[in-house]
Amino acid sequence: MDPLDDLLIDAGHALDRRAAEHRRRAMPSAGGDGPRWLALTAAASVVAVAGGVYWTTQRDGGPAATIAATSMSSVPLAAPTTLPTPADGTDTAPTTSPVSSLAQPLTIGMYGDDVKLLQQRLTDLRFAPGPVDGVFGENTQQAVWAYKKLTSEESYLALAGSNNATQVDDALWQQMQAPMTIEPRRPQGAGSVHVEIYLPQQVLVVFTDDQPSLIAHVSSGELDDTGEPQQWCEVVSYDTGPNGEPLDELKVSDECAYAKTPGGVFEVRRHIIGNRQGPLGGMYNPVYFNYGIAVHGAQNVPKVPVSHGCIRINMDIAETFPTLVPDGSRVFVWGHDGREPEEYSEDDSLPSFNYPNPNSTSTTSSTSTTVAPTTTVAPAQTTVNVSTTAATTPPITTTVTTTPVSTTP
Amino acid sequence: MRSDSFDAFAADTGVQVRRALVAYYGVEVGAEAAADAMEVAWRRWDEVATMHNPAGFLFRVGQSRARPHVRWHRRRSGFPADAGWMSDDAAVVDLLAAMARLVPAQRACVLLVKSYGYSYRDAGELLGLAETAVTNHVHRGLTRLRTMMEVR
Repeated sequence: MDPLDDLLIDAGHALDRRAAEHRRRAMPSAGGDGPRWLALTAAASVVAVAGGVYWTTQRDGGPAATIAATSMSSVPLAAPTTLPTPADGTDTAPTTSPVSSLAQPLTIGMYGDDVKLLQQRLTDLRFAPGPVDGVFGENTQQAVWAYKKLTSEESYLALAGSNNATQVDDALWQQMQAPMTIEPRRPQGAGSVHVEIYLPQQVLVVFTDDQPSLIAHVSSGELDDTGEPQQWCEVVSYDTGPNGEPLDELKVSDECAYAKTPGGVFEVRRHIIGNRQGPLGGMYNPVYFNYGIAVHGAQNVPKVPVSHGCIRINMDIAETFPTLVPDGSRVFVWGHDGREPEEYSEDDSLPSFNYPNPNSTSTTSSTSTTVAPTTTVAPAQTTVNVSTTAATTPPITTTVTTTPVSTTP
Repeated sequence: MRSDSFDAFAADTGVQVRRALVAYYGVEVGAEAAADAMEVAWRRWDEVATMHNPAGFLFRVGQSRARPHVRWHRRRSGFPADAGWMSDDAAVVDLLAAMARLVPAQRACVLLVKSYGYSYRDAGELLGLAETAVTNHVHRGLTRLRTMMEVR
């Protein structure tokens, strides 16, 4: 048999596999809403990063999401006085729009005037559902998630375990239309901008003048079964040195760390516009606030924490977030353990810095033979002795010493 | 039920359309265009379900969807030459890079017939070509590929 024939078959497999992966990469992994193929086609509208090429012509659902043709009409109600009021205080959004009710629950894939009303209301409340185009796409979905999590104040697990997480039924819609105010937990006074991140709810709120200007569903550092940060070991590649200088050739090393998003009070350190190829993959418009931890755009922002420690927001929100938050803005992070941001000590609020993989077969690091076995390292104490230069650069190649857990304070 | 029959349709015809479009335009643009085409199939399901050659129709739809996203200077090739990320096998990467230099129709015919085992007739129906044209494309494409692969 001709060797080219075999190669051709392999090439066909490679193309098939990559084409299938390409769809999956842009797909909402949280799924569960609607048939599988619907997510498949709706994914075409997500801003897909394809080798650095942004496919931005269709946004938030786009025509792709219109395939589940469902016609909906809004019925004006005469008596708005019977509405439940979820929060006291004045409405931050115009209340002039007539109160309506839903003939049927809305969910992803639908389109129509009702969806438009929902999007307008979410926009007024600063949940950033994307353009008000009447198409219930992925941005609207995440805005609904953020609304549900923020108002219910339950753990993200409640939403993740729900069978109809994305669904907006009439009861919820009535609640949404009622006047509501979202108060900052740490008011900073007029003229200030600050960010509050609630890890238990996986929600981020930007407050400008103590009024919410952006509320986003996020996905932070992954947790293991016990609720502690998940350990990861990966072969990573650096394109910049410890002081941010570009390297001539990629430095590749096998490293481990914990996917820790610590609570605490931080400041926005620096912005990078565009796509940054970090050691762990691409980040869009990252805004760093705690060493290498950034709020950045990602294509996959599921209902549960999955990142390596960063705060993921969706690609469209990543367009506006950096413009709202100047350097020096304060960032308050409420951790999973229920402590207030101010209760985190300096050590507690350090992220997990990378260390060479002790089990690596190809490592060239001389320290790798002296570090403790991975199984006994406690997550919160793995990182010590960070040099002071790390404050202005992500700790990608900062000198990090890993000590056995028994000798760590 | 509509969605059940559509699921089966997407699993069969959808894959065919995607393969043809990926062969023409590469993975990124091809896969997006195939998703667009399947969206059209869903919206116009009543028509598409009764079509004699739905795959061929959807391939044409995908082509017109892909066109705005392929730059003029790449339109002759469309298929990106940097295939390093597609496979760990250096020989496969070389082959894909060589394929990028074929005329799109040649590449599509070679891939459909030689990689995916389509008959000349099936490939022709999908791509809107006569059986004889497919035969010629496959023959010339393979000859060119052999030359390019041997030169390396």
